Amino acid sequence: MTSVENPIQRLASLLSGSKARPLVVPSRLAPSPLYDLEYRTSIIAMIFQKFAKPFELGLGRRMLSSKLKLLQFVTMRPWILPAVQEWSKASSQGSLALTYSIRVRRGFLSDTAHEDVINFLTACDILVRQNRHLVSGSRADQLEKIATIAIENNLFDDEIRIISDLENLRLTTSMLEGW
Amino acid sequence: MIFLKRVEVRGRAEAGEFVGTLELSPGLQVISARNAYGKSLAVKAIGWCLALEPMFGNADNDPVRLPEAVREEIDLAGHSNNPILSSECSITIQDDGGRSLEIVRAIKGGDPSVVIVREMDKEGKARTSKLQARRATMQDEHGGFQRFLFDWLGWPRIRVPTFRLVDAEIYLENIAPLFYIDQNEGWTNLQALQISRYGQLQIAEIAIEYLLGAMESLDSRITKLRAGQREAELKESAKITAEQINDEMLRYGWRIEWSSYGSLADIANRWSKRSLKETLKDEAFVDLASQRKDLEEKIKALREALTSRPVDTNSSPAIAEASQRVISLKRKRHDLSQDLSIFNSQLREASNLLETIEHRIRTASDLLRLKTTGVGRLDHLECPTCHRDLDPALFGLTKQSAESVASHIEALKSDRELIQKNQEALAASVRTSVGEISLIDGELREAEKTLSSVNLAVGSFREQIVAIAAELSATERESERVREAAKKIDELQKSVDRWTTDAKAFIAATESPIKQPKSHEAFLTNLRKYLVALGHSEVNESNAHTVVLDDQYTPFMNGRRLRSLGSGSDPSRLVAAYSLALAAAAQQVGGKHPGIVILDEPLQQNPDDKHRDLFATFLTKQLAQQPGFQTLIFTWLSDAEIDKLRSEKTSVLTPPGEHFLQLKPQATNQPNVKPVTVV
Repeated sequence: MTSVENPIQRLASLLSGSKARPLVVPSRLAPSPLYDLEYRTSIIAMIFQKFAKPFELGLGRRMLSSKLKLLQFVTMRPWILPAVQEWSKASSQGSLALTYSIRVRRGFLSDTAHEDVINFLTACDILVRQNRHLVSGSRADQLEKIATIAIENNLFDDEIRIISDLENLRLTTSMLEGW
Repeated sequence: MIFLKRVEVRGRAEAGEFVGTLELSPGLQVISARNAYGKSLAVKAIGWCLALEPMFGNADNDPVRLPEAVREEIDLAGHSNNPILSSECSITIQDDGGRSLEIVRAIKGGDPSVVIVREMDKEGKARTSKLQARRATMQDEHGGFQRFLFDWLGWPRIRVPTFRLVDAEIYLENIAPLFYIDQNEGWTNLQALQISRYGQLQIAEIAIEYLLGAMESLDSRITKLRAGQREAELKESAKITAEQINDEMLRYGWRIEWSSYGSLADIANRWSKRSLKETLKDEAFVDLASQRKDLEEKIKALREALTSRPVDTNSSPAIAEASQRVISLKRKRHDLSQDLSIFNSQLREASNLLETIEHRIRTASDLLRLKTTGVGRLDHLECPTCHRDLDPALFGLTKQSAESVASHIEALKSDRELIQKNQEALAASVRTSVGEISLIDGELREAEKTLSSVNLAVGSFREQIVAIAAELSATERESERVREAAKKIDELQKSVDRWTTDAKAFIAATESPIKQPKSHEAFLTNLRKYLVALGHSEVNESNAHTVVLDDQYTPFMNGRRLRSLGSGSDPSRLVAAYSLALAAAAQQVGGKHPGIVILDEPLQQNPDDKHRDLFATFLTKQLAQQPGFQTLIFTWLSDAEIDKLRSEKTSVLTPPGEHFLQLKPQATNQPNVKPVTVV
């Protein structure tokens, strides 16, 4: 993620030689919540709480990192949920699956902001990478706390509703890892 | 005005009958007794007899506010924890004309929803009635307690607007907070126990004007309040009329901007400046009068052509003309259908986009809540190895500030507004296209009918005749449609004219300001006097003239609320001065004040010696002792204070015994309830 100043500087240098008179509207420079660490962490926390399964005699919880990436991508963009549902239904029908997957895969695979947040959470030992999985780390309680507090305080109701809808979505390996 | 003559609480416990009585006189009465004596029971009994429990947030007919000593158990001389078998209380009030009224209400062992009133006229004739304490208390003409009490006191019933758009009465519990100052909450603010849940608008101001008898001002205030509701109705009606006009015009395929935006005055000016027909002419280029004239001329010409003029058999073939018309209409319909399809598709896109933006606004608003309240935020994070703070920027991440999120929400809201406008415009385009298609469909049906008739005709002469006849028929139908449209527009114009007349009348009626009552000045003068006499630390003889009352009867001094001025002990002085000044002013101007002011434990608000002394000094002043109305002060005074007050001729009552309620010396099997004859 880049800070908002850089694009302004770049724009200023581009306009410096012209006669254009730039009009800056500060509200238009404010980035979307999609680029906010706390928003993304809240969504990851709620998804991890819902979908991570216990393992190692229940000492930890884990989920596929690609599943987390897809689910958080859809949760933050509920309008693509119908497309993902179609993709899921069509995944067994070869070429049809390809049609739907193109509309979604390109977006979620290039979601580098998500990877940055996961890197941060693993650095804090909240999550731990283990092969294809993300496993709860020694400070995973923080993630759980965030999810619980968000739900108790009716924060991100829309997203919680989508996460609940995603429970009924069948995710195949080809959807998560390609073909 | 009236005065409280007697307060009595009585009942029966296992140990026997008990009773507590206070005999009172007009004017200032200080009822002094030590703490836990039962003074508050006497004060609460007054409230219970007057059925004022809603004032304290209690359910109707629930005596929970009264002490346990009259509801559950009582400690009587030598007998502790005596269960109460039955209890009730009564008050007796007397008016200037010598009429008296005893009000009795059961606490335990009887029906607390009923109040028994015993009227006694000046000749000593008695009449007893059983009334409902709370149920339909004002509405029930024969059984409502407040309805009876208001009649007995000669108080008018007044209906005031509420925010629920249904009028409500002024109840006793609306005016009592101005003369019944409760020990627990009454001192916290002016009219601290005023009831807001009934929804009466400006009830605090209305209650004051009612007690002052400022009926003209009260009427003016209520008219103004109703005007606010009427304004909302007129705005809504303007909106409906505008929507109806726009829809109707679009149905004919004409697009005009007949808006209901702006204030009532703006709408009235705009709607009266230009008629609907003129707007149609200017904006949709439709001149109905000229269209009708043209069509009538055409009909006349076609009739002549059919009946008297010779038919030109050499003119262009009728079949080709009729066929060409059908083709051109079909093409036009196809183009319009395509436009409609595009508009519909754009409308769907705009709706989806709007939904997306709504979602983004909700998300950003939740994120702003997270940022501002800290709920759900990440705690302090450090590297598990080196224990140094982890900076999200190292990972290319940012934590947005609350200001940045708020700005983003503003930008999204601005986008939403743009998309909503776009959506409205697209919806209007869809309606216009549907209207135009419907018109073309009508014309197409006519053209196809003409073509079919011409096709059936044999020979050029007949073809021409059939074509002219078909054209005449179509023109007549078009003329009829234009006539109907003109009629509809006339009807709509009448609605607009009616609305404009109503709005203009309303604007003229509401331009007059609320009349300030004459009693306002009397109230202010008395308030200044009482503030000085009670020793308000900010108000003295020399600056009292700077105290003013605004339209809401809130006291101000040099532009600041008096409540916020002075020391921590001054607000209770303000409450006392306000209540006493109101009674004094009402007495001077012949208002509706009952003439009783009850101040429960004024000294507990400022128990230090300096403030006790200030209050005791006030009680010795002529202003406090004025006999115009009854002031009942329930408090505890030391013997020295009592002597000082009595030496200054202030009436101090010191009820006997250790407690207000005492065991009756001769206990009988029956509770000390006077037999009543219910009529």
